[in-house]
Amino acid sequence: MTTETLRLPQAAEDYLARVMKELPRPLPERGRIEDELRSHLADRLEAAMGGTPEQALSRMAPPEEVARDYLAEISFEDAPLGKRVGAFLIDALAGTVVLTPIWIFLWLSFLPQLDLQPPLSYGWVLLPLLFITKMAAAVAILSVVYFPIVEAIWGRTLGKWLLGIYVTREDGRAAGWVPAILRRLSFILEIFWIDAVFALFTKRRQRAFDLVARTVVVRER
Amino acid sequence: MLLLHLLSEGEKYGYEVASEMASRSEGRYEVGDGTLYPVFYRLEKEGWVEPTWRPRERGVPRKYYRLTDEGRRALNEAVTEWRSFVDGVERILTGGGES
Repeated sequence: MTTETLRLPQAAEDYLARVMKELPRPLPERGRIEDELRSHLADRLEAAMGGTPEQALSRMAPPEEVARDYLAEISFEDAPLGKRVGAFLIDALAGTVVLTPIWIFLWLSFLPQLDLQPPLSYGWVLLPLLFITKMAAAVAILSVVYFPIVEAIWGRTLGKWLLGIYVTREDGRAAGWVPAILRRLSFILEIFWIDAVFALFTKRRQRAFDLVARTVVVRER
Repeated sequence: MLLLHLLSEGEKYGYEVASEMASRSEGRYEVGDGTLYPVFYRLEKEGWVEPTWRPRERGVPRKYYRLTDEGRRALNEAVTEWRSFVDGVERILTGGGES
């Protein structure tokens, strides 16, 4: 049996892809769901004898609804706050390390022009301070170009991946672009600390902007 | 209970169960495309059904579900419970004067 015979007509494969897009990538049930749905679609098309695949598919429930039905039967465990803070620190540190060559480059290219000569004896005070400001700057940059993008595509950042947690919508569907961007707005608006405090009190440990984006962070199984 | 009953007649695959459900209930029970399999999955975790993938002559393999002994016991229990429930309701609706 070749793989060719295992594929459905293109319209049905497209439908299947739309359902799969709604399921978070780290979900262990993805493979099972894909196999079951492909088989179900094949039966649907077969039963529709004579009609085009498009006609048979038009009688199927909307892909989002099918995804929601599947997800409703899967239990998600909200990620503990420790892991979320840990993931954030990993991301912030990794971002700082990655961006350091850029800081050094900028430093070296602008320092001579500024004619600034920091006394070397201040180094021990300056370096940690410098590190913290660089980390804050890194987080600011990451908030725009890293967090929303990777969370929209993979549902998680490097830190979240290492600690086994990921972002979903409240109903378990994959986060997608709009929620992933929305939940980072507090970083960009620099009200992150107030925003984060909400996670201490909300039922599903959501930040204020998680509530706005209707997202949750859950544990991988 | 209905799923278990349909499977008690023999091994069946998802779409077969869904269409039987619809035809036997004369369209009163339409199972959504995404609702059936998650329920099977739950039954599977309970140990009441056992799935097997079987190839067909052409195309995508099918997942068949078979009722386990434990599933049969659960079905009998559920049916007994359902009958006594219906019986109780029926007695209330039709009479009430006898006792």
